[in-house]
Amino acid sequence: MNTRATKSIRSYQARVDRALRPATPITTRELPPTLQYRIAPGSRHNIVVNTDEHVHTGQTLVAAIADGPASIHAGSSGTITCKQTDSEGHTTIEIATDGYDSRRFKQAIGDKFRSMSSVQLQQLFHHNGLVGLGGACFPVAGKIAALESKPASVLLVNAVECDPAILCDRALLLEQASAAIRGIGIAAHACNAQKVIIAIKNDEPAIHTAVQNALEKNPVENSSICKVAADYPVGYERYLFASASEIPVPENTHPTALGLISFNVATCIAIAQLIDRGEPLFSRVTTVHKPTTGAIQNLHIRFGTPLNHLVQGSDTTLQSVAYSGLITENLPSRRTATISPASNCVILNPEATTQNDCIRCGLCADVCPASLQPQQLLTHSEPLDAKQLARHQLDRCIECGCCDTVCPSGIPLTRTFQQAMQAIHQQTLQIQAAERAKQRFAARQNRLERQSAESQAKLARKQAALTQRTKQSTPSADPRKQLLESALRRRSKKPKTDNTPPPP
Amino acid sequence: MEPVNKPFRTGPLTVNTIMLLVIAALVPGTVIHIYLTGWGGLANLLVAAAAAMLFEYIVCVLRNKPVRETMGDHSALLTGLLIGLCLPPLVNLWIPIIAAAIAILLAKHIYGGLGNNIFNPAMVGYAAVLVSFPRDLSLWPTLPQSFDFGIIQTINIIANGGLVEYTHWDSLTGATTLDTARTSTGTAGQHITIGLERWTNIAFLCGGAVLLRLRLINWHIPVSLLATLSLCALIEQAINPNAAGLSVHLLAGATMLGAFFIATDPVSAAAGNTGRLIYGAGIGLLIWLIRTFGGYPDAVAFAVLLMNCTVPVLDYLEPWRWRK
Repeated sequence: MNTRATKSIRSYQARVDRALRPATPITTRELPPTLQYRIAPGSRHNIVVNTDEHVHTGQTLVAAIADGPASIHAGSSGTITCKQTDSEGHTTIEIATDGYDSRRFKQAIGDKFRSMSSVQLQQLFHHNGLVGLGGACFPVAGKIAALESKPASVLLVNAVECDPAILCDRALLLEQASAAIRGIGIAAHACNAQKVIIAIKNDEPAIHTAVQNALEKNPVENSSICKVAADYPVGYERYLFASASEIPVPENTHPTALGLISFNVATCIAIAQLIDRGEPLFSRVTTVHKPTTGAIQNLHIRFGTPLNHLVQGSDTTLQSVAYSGLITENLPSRRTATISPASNCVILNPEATTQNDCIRCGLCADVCPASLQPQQLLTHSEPLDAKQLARHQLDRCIECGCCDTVCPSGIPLTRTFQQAMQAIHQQTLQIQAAERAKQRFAARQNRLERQSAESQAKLARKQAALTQRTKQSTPSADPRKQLLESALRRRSKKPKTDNTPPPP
Repeated sequence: MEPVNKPFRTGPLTVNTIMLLVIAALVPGTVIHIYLTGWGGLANLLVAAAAAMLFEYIVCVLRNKPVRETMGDHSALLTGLLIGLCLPPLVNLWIPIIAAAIAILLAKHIYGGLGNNIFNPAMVGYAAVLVSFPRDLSLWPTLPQSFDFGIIQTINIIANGGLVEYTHWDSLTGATTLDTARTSTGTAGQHITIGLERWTNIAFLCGGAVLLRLRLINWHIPVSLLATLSLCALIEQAINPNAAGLSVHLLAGATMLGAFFIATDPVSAAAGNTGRLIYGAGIGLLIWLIRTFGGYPDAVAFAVLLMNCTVPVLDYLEPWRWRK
């Protein structure tokens, strides 16, 4: 990455950091009246609750599928009010909360986890809804299973929140460092990790002290703390491996293939809570920004909380929302926006800005950590030119949003690229569907031809057999036929008589 | 496109800031230019800039664009200033106005406004008046004092058709260094000296260096442009010792203004680094070719416009991979 680009991003980041750095403790929000769980279309799922059923906090709503998604758990006790599939194919489960939040967890395992094998722990994680809380929501068990062939050489704990707007991991480390270290120990056991690296930002001495104190109290074998420069986007898994473990991960290779595995701090805390309290994953800490009032909060929220609920109290209504942080952004549709395991940061009613035409200044290319040419990608995104986009390697875009940050014309490049990728994905699906339809049609055509050929052949065989038979048998061979023929001959010889009565 | 919601979008630079910084970097060269050309040069700058901004305003109203935001990017002001810097002093009042009109209306907004123009607007405007009024545009002062008229007299001259109408002052005008170099090529023993315009060029070089330092422009275009031009000039001098030398090519005419402020216009230049190197080299080569063999004393405008035509192909070269 270009040093000047790093500098420009860094100065921007420092400016925002100064504005946002005030300590933001984790607070808990009262339960919303409803919790909504949406399951994306096309995914395999196995819903185990019915409408009008009463559920407890932590009860399984959707069972885990082996090698598939992890389970989903009720965020609060209450009644299932609806379970329906909408026109787009999303399945929604809604819980009307009863306000008691009555919990019924399985028994805690505690220190017995040391006698459990990696596979047993994976089962446990998978059936308690453990997914990565860093933003990608990948099932924890799936990640460990991908390592299975060889023991993990390095377990990297990602505590580098490089996006300046996201403060939740920071708050978690400051307040729950011992839980985090406990979770790291369990995760290291589950992965059979030979080495544990806890990566933190180099400009946060308070976090360093907190982590070090927790490590002294509850040491994790072969662990070390690594401070990395807080240059955005160092928290991106691939880059973090390169800077913290000094193991470069080549393109097109997943870190797990090299025996490297990484977990977010929040994920580690979730692991600790599961082992020590038997608590499945149904909530997270989210940084909530309200630019209209300038408020920044770290809220402990249940998954499925509608974002509308977060706006209550302030006098504005929810007009728009951006997930993720200042640099990365992701705009969900307002109607259905809820807190999900991926929501590490929510910005409610973000400021609107205008956008001008691209002046081709090339700043975006200078800051791109993947060394792409965002402005060329933009040219080929509208109108969409999939061939050119492939040539410019759109698939290597990590959607970090650096280009958006430096663009002097205020163009939402990353969003345009996301849309282009979606459009290309759709096109590919359509082409595949068309190809399948073509194959189906060809197969049908083949089958029909084969069937008609077969039936014709059968007919021909039958006819041949028949003629064979008629030839073999002499005309007088059949006595019945002889009788019939003679009768016909007799009748034709008979003089014709008129038997009809004369008309009156 | 629809307006987007962007959380706290306060990126380091906006188009507005970039343009203002470029204008600021132009200031030292402009000051020396005004010192050399007197009130006439100042009048050109003022008239061209005012006309460019007026046309921009009219187009904004006609195109239903937000006037404050579109005018706020200061690109029209920059275009006007560049036109004013190219014109000789004491030309007819209408010449900078026509140049500004062609630049803003034809070269810029016909194509869709800032960001969509294929040609550098200032150079289109200047080239149009250069081919339309060749005689007006060839009268350059030889010495700073040559045109040392007062304000009133300057206004009188430019409002009454420019210096071209005042034939009795012909004695005060002379060929520019490049003109001399062009016409005298091959004459044995003639030593070509660069006029005071070398100070303008040095000032633009300094301004360009500041832009490079701020990384508002990339080094690729100016470096490859100046390198190619120098290489051509050195080869030429090696073959013909009487030819205009390196210093003439680099420090006379609009070389430095062209290399740092005109060729680097991001909108009409190539976007990728490989493309930028080829683009700069092409301009350098064309400047030398036109200066040496062409019919015009200076060549920056034509060289830039010709290379603007190649930009789509140069952009197609990206991403260039040296190592497969």
